[in-house]
Amino acid sequence: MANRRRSEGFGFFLPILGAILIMPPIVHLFDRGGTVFGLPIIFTYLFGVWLFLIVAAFALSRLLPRVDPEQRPERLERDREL
Amino acid sequence: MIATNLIILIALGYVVLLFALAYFSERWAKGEAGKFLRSPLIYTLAISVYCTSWTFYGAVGSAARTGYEIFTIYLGPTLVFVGWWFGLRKLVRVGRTQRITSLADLISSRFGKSSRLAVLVTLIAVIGTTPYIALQLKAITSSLNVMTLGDNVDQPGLNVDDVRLALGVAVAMAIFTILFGTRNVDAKEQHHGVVAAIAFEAIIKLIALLSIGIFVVFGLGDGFRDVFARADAAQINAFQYGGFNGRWVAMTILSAAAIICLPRQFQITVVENSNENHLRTASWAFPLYLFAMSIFTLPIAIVGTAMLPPGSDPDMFVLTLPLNFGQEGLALFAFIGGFSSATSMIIIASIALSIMVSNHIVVPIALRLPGRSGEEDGGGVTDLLLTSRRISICVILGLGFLYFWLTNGSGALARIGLISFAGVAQTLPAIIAALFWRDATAKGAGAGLFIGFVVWAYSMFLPSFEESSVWVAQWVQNGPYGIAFLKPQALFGLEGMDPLVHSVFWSLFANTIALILVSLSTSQSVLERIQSALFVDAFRRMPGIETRFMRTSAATNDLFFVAQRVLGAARAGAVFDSFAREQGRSRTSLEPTPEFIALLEKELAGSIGAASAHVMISQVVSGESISLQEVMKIADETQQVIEYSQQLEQKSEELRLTAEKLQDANAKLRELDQQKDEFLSQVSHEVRTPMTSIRSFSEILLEPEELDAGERQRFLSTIHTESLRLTQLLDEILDLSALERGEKVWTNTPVDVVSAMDRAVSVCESLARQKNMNIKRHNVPAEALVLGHADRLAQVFINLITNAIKYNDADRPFVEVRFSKTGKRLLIDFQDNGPGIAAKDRRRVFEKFARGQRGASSGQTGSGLGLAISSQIIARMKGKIELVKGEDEGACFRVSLPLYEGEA
Repeated sequence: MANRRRSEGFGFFLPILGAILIMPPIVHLFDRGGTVFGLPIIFTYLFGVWLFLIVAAFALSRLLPRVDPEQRPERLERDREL
Repeated sequence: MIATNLIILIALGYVVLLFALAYFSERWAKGEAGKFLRSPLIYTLAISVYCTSWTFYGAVGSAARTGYEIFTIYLGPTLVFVGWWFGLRKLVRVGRTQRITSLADLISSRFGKSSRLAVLVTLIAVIGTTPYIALQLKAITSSLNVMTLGDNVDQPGLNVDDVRLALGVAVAMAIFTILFGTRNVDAKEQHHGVVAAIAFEAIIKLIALLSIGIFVVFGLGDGFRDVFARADAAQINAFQYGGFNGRWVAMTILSAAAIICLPRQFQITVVENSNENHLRTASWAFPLYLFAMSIFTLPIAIVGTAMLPPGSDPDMFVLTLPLNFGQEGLALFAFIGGFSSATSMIIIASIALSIMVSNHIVVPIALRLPGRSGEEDGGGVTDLLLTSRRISICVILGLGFLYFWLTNGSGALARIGLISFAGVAQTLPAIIAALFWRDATAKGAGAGLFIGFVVWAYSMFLPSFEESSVWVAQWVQNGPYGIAFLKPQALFGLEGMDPLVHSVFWSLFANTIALILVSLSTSQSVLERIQSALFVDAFRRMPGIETRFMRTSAATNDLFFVAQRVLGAARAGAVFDSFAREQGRSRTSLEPTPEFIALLEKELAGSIGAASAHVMISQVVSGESISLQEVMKIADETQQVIEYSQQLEQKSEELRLTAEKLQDANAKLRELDQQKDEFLSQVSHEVRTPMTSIRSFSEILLEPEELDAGERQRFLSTIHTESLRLTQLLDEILDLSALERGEKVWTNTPVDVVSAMDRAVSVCESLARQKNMNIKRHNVPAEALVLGHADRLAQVFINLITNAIKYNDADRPFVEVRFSKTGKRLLIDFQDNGPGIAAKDRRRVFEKFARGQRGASSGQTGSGLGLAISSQIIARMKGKIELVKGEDEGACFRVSLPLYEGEA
């Protein structure tokens, strides 16, 4: 239960964190010219944040509890066969 | 340079391939391969219908013009999908459990199955989407132009080929969509064939764009580092963008809204979802897809600007770059990629819109038309639905084509992407309220949608015609009729803002404010409350809540008739049969329970939308609504709170009862304590009287004065009598207290009451003779067995008879003992003709030391314990002794005892 709540907490926090990271004023910190690995800092930063969100979402998708089975799966299945 | 005909042939071939793919997927969907078709991978790929030709071609153009701005279009959806657990999951859950068929259906269903809201949302969706379809057609024709002419200069006007191609594409897409999107009216609007084709197109466009990207970055350039080194020369702000302002934020919000509200996205994400767990995969896989789609955007823009001749259309870099460097095959592949993005958008958007139009506009009108309802044939509504959907698709695509034809040449189309986003984003506040805000009302949602839509149309849609209409340009410049206050792009004097930010701010602000204010100041109908609870509490299990609100009286035949009209005879029969099986009956004897009616309504909603389904079912089902109070109990948001507080109330009630009991017990204890005190003082008093006389007589006897023998004798006998009385008193006290404490071993055995009575009478005989009175017995049975103690029973009888004799001062005294039976009880009445018992004494005769006043005055002695002891004894035998109103004026005591009837 504690784990479930924790992962749900991360699930809630992640998009908010992502939004804060790509919005001003934080994003201004990285919009100052210059390069890192030969790439523009801001380019690396945006795609880095993006990649981080993807990886974190991947990790979360394994942590978050499995969704309850549908309430009446057998009926849905039956419908599909009709 | 590639021949036009060849390209058209290839495009045609590609469309045929799509047809084949959709056709076979539809067939496979039923078999083993169906699992793959319903896999999270296919689902995720289908969601990428988000990437239309506007993003396929336009993203590079936008990057070339403005740098990083285009990435907001991808970052917004990324945030939404990463946060799937709190938003999309609920949307999908609600969509699945409530059989939602479209965006309009969702909003209408949540707000009391309101058809007015459904129509409003449908209109917004159609107005927002049709230009977008036109945009796809334009992208196809422009790309064809580039491919055939090698001409990268934007060519004003249309040539015949363009129109022919656009028309051809529109017709082909209409045929495709009609064939695979309206094959049947499904239980749920799922189209596996279409989804498979879309997923295939998603792969094509991704690979196409990646190939171009790799060719540009590693073929034309020398890796990312080298490409970015040319950015400055190309005058693209790759290093220091400087555009992270309000527009950046507004576009992120818009695109986040679009991934939910765009009809095609809603169709794929919610309606076509076959398993809620697919979202789990899509939550990271879809952002990854977007990431892959955009990683090369900026480099392509840089290389294109740097290496292609000035004046090239940056929107077509994806094609012109390989063409200019002799890679015709690659260019062709890119063309197919762009074609894929365009066609997939057109297909899904027209399916989604046709469902909305037919379910929320055509069907409600048709249902209301007289004559329609009397239709006897089975597939009436099914046919109506399919026909109206097919016509809707043609109309929508026709509108798109018309829009393309009329506006082509003006720059209006290019901006349509964002305008469209902003238009459908007006449904976002209503969707969020639908899922999370219990008190949102239909009026609130309607007001918000309407105002938001009007503000959007005025401040964003209207100015987009600035170039094509002098009149509009005039308004934008100076405000309507010169009222600067109402300038579309500077409402209420809000100058100096980016037009997009300005419009998004005002429209969403007005929308949300109207939604909140109107919701707070209106109240929900009964149905709205129920729907609200179903939506907001989608994750809380409330089994049967939707079924309970219907108290129904509906004939199964009528229901079947309705179901048959909508679902067709075969499906309707199957639904009824499956429910009948659950009930364990045959179809003909099926009980139309509330559960069944709710289920049926949901089935119908899956085909014609919640509002229409509700109307149809309500026509058949009468007496649907129940008291408001009951509904509140079932569906109100406070249900849980109420239940909880009821539990609390129960608990505190229990506590109160316990406290009361404790108080009672305490009072009883106090009373007992007092009784004990009284008892003690009474005992002392009773003991003191004989003791006093014994003492005084002994003192007289001890006096040295001579007493004559006679006197001495008399005194001694008095002392003897008194001590006897004392002993008897003490014995009785002991007896009583032992009885009261229940210490004595007491075993009830069957005893004969008659023989006990004989003994008692014979004991009392002498006393009676002294008084010269008779003991008469009436109705004496031969034998009457009760469970009890023979000696004790005789003791009680002796006590009662003795009392009757002792206190009888009548002239001709008598005692009557009368036996009788009522049911299983034996009654023995002891009736005398004495003075009787005074009314005020009647209640306390069985108390300890209580003596009747007349008895006391008549100088008779007695401990006052006899009746108390008797009543204890009889209670031990499960009987009762009471004072009743007898036949004569004297006292009448009645002993009632349960008769013994052998071993039970």
